[in-house]
Amino acid sequence: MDIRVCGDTLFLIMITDGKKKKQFLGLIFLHISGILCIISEFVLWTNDFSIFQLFQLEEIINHLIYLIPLVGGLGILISALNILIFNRKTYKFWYILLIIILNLLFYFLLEVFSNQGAYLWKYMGIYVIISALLFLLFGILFQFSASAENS
Amino acid sequence: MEGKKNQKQKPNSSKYKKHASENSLGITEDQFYIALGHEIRRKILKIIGDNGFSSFSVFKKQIQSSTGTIYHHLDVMKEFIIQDKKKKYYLTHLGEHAYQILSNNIESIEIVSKQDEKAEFNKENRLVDYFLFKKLFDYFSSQTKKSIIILFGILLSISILSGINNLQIFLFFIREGSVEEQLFYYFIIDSITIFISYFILICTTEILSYIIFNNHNNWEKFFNILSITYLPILIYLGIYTILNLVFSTIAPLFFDILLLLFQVWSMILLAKVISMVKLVKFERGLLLAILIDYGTFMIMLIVNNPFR
Repeated sequence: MDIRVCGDTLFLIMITDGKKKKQFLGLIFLHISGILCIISEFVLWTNDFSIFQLFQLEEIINHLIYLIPLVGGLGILISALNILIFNRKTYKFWYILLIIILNLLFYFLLEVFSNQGAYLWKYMGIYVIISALLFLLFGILFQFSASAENS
Repeated sequence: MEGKKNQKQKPNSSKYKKHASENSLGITEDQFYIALGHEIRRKILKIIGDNGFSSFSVFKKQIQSSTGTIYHHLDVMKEFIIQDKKKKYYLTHLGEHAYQILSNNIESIEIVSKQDEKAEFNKENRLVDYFLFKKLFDYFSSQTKKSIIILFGILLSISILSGINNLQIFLFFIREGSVEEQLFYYFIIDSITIFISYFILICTTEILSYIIFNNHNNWEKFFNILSITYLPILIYLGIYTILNLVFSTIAPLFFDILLLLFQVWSMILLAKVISMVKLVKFERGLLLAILIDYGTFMIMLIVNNPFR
């Protein structure tokens, strides 16, 4: 119920409220998402193992996919910082990078779901990455709707 | 004769009266446009609309006009603006509606004038234009019948290529097929899914653009041009087929990353199509494209049920 109210409020802000609020919220969401992504790399995903440990244990070349949360998180943080500092000067490149990272996370989740299945839900990792994904999605939506407003 | 004429005119006049009474919201259409008919009044509306609320000192700072002038314009806009006890100005429902109309109009005027500018002055072939298939967009906009034939050609060739490679395709997502059947089985299944997904893409985009932008214009043009968004997927399938024929041992991760980049290319093209046809900014188009992508991802997640 609370999640639904929260979603409705966010959607309302996105449609109606002012540009500065959207930009501010978008940047905060992007930063939170980046931090959560990096954290998700090091929390438990399976029994006693984080994704980073799994990456080290298995054959590295075939398990590069397990590095997506870490690389994606760093990418999100860099893009968010650049959007914050340079504002509208080079924003298109960073937005496209954010969309690529979003699709990478989608791909990562699809792969992990099809490989690990139902066991994932017992551990922390999946919840952290899903919340990071949602923050990223809302961050991008807020940023786009802010930059689409007439300046 | 005059009596008959009057009798004939009566129903019309009663309709007119009924219509007029239905519009009795305290403001007529003329008054509505008069209230929007001055630069300062539009600025006031924009300041409040952009920030959610505003105060008189902000108006004075941003508009740089005398106190009396601003009060005069605020008085003209009394149907659009309300003031609370803390002296903050907010938009009424009518004011919000006027703000939406204003911002949509500014946006569409900007987009159309940019399109005209590009057509007249910017004839250089930049690398970005090749990536955005600028010439194809121009061609598809002018040639309606041929573009439908090309649309069918693109979709059919995608289904043939995905059938040959045993791939399942839904919108911009491609997965490997699991069931081993004869080749024509995959071709038929892929043809059906690709045409259904094209139909779903049109419907969802139309519905979302109606909900978010309140815009349902040009759907025929949209139907024709939308096939351009599938070109990157077609190119990806071509590369996939050739590389699989030439090099048999390529890591699947390479194809996945390649597909991801082509998906983003498709999304950017979809955003471009939406911004062109619906006359909204590119960012708004990208917003819709992301929403559609996210929705597709959810469907894919349900199909690959993690609880099985």
